[in-house]
Amino acid sequence: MIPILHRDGTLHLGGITAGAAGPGFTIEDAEKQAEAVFDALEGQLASVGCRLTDLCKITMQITDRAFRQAVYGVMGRRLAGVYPVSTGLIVKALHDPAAVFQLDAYAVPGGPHERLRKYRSTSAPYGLHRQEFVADFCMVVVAGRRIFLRGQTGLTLDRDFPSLHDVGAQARLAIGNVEKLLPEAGATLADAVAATIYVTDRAQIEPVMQGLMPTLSRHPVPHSLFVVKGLAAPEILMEIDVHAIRADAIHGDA
Amino acid sequence: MAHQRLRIDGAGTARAVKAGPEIFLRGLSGPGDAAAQAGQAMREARALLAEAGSALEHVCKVTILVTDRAWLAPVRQVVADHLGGTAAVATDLIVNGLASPEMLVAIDIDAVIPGAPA
Repeated sequence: MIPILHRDGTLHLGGITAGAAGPGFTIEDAEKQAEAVFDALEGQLASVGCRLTDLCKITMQITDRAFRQAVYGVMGRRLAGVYPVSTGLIVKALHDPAAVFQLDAYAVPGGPHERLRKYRSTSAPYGLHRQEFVADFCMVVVAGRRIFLRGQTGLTLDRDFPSLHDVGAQARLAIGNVEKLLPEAGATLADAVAATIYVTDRAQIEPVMQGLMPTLSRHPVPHSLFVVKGLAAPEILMEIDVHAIRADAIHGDA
Repeated sequence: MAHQRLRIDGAGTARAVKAGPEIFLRGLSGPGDAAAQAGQAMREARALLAEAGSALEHVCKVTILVTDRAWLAPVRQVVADHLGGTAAVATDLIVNGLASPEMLVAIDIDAVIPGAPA
């Protein structure tokens, strides 16, 4: 897979799996695959003159929660000091049946970019609990007019998780977080261009959409919605990714 | 200038948003079996892109979501047929479900608009 750097400066990287690292379904195999995926990521970035510090958003796709600690441990080491925003999914399967980990990423040349609300995984809970791996993340990456947000959930910006078992409340909190974070990057929901909504059970689609749409529909965007096996922690029942581009920063506009 | 929103529906969703030289399409699908759903998704993508001054040859990224591995090969074939020789970055995911139980396939697309101000 080749990365695509379009003339306007977004670098799309997608569907990166380990390839030659081969099949395997042990923790050690997952680590090996993760190392190979980040080798590939670095190679793809370098092939178009980009660096790790240009990375904005990563979406980590893992086939089983059992691999999360191993894969994120590798990620934390390979992306130390980068502070990307991240979304983590546990999915039914990947296109490569031998792969347990796949990575999607967006980069914008010209980094390092502005990174707001940096945090280290060990000092921040995911849902109710802290996780063991060490990784540096942030909540918002501002790369010129492009704004990348961490996938938002029922975890408040103060890192509380008040809505256990209430997916509708989690959805309202998540979109509320988006509404609070965008202004920190000089934007509003009017600058959003697309959303991706993840739920962990089909029965949650209706309450999640009821929680999101009163806010999201004020500035209509296209969205994708799918059911995943899991998110960062079992108690996190939904997540939303919003991508925004500051309309007032597009050339030729007043 | 505000982003341009294409085909806003009663639920407050747009089918596409055009932001300067970029356009974003999400959750494209259609009726029928997996290949038919992918075909309808790509025809809609073609129409939306044309409406915004773009085309399938300007697609940068395609995300294919399917509910069963068995759908992946036929759906990829349909997408490749529509994209022709366009080398887009692709991500495929096999998921536990899509927006409705009838949906077997959904396609997300990021594309650019040649000649639009950046």
